[in-house]
Amino acid sequence: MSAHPGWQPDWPPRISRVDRLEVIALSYSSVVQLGDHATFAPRLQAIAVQRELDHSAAGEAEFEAYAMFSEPYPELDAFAWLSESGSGICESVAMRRTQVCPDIQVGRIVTLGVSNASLLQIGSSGASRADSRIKHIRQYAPPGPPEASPDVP
Amino acid sequence: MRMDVTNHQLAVGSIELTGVASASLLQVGDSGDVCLQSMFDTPPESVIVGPLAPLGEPVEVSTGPGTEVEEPAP
Repeated sequence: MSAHPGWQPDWPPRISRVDRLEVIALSYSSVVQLGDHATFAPRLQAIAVQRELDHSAAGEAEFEAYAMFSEPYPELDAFAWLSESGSGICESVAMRRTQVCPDIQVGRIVTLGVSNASLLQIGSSGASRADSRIKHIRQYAPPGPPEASPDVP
Repeated sequence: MRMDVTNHQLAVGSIELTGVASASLLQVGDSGDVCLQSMFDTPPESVIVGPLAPLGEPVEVSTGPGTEVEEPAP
């Protein structure tokens, strides 16, 4: 995921018109934007732990213990795939847009929440690059009478 | 390859949704390019029933984020 040098579209973005927007909650690297932007690149890493002891008694969770937080994503480039698949469709794709109507109209948007490296935008954008990685762990005590003291080395 | 796109009138009455979550995007507008990626890992083995021992120790510190990566010797 390379950095976008800046938003310099050769096409005119349309004007977005929304009469009413209702959002209850906004959390974890998320954005509600009214307007345009060149780049948007939020990143979220989370270990969601449900367990009976708190972290001070049973130790913290470490991102480095789980490979999913350091694994690279595959490069997603559909145009490169088209040119390498032997179809001969393209070496590169030149996209030309014609805007017949100068605006996009939405009456009303209602949502409970925007969360985990997400974006709700009324406006146009250049490049959007979001990355969310969540590890969910549930750690319970074995059935039976509770232990006198936790087995913590 | 050349791709021609003609955008005619676009008008929507009402959008109601529960949420926008985990590297997602709800946009009213035009965009250049979009690349959204999300991993969510909750396999059966992530349920640990047993002694409340600490969670796993770091095993890949050399490749973890925010740590120094040693250059291989030439």
